[in-house]
Amino acid sequence: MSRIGIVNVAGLKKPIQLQGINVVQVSNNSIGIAYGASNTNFQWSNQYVFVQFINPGNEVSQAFIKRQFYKWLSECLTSASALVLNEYLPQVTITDVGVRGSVATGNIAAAADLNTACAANPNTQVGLDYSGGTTPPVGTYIYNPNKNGNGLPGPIDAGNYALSYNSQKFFITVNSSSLISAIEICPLLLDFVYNLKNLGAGPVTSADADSISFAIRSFLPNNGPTTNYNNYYNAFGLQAEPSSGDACSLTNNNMIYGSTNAMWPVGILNNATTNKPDFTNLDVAFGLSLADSNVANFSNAQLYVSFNYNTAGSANASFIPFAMNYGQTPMFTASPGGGVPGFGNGATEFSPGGNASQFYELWTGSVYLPAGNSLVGTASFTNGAFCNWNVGSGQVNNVQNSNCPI
Amino acid sequence: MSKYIYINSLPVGSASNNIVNLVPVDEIGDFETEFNDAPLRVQFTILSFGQSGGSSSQNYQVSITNGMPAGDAKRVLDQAISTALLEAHSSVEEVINFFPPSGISISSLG
Repeated sequence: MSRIGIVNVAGLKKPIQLQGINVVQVSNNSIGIAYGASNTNFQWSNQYVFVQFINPGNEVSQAFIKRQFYKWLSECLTSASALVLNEYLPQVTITDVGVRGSVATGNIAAAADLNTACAANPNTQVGLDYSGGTTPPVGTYIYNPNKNGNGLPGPIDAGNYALSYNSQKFFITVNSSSLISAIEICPLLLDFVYNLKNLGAGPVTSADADSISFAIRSFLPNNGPTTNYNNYYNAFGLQAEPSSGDACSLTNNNMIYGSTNAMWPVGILNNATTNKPDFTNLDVAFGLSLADSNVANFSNAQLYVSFNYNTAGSANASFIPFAMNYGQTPMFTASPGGGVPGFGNGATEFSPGGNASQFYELWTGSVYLPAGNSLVGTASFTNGAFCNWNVGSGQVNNVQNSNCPI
Repeated sequence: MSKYIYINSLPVGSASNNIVNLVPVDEIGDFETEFNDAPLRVQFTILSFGQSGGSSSQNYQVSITNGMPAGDAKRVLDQAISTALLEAHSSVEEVINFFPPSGISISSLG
């Protein structure tokens, strides 16, 4: 008597446990198997095994698939050897089987070629069988995590797609087994570059295209009275975390360029009395990629940072998403100090004796973006904007005020 | 009676081989050599069939020692694990030794 069955995926035989099954759910392109008495609804977890298959045109009915699955199960339980599910369903092509615990997600859109893919804005969510943070390798399984609307995943159709994953775009080819069979990285096209070197030692008292400014929690890092943002720059009484209304008064740009601002970097360049940075000799630049280079809207734009923009030159500079993980040390391995040059002492701990674990929390998630024209498309911003951004991903969530000083 | 697969760190015949860990055969819900930035790891999902429905994962770091592409290493490692697992299910032996294929070594991630 066998306690396992077998599912064959492209020549790889995977055993399926036959004991402890609590629920079986069948769709036109997948079978979900839930184990354990407490598991009754399909979710992504280690207690659910999914068999995904391609069933062109849904020619094989769900009722037939279900019938054959139960036939396979019952015969497995009385067979001396493990039986293969594929032989009970020769009409479909099984593309994947296994547990889907954690899901790395991206977005796809059909695209004929590299240029089309790199200009696309993919919005169909996909799952990726890949837990890295860079480029998914050839052979990665890609699937629709909720193809059937009932928690059951399914393969995607073979073809060419634009893939957006981890703030990077790719042009991919997906084969008939729902595997990435080719992948090309899209060149990063930045709509805006904010080169802090151009700010020098300040002050910056009027409209400046490099004057990106981040709101900062000035009482952090909280590791004693002499190590936080306020103390480090001696910026007491100044506003490092203004509201959008305060920051964006069109009749008074004092909060951005004036004497009350303690945001980083413009505010502290102008108003700090100690440890004021001089960006002349520091290499740090921020970049921004709009969701659509032809639409003047910062929503869903992506922030990047570079630590070699000036030394490598604009054509060869490396930009990475300005995305931080809580507690990570160093926060940016490409940064000479591990933090951001000119932000505190440039280390993840922010200041000597500071607290590296609070680096993430220093950034409030608000940023001022000056006016300007896209370097890529036709988007033109005649006013500055005060935006909310996601510190964990570097993506601009929404525009709080689009009518700010330039 | 319980059955186990002993995960050896190096290919069969290696002088300095050691058993990294064991895997309970009848509780394996899934296995896969996954792509990550390492560039690979092997993951076994261990199911609990009790009322709680709990589960856990065993993760093993994979090193490619002969320079083969990660995609090729995944393929041969998945095949080797599949063979060992099916053998373990059909064997009368309580313990099956698993050795990674040539060019691959395994260490526990804990």
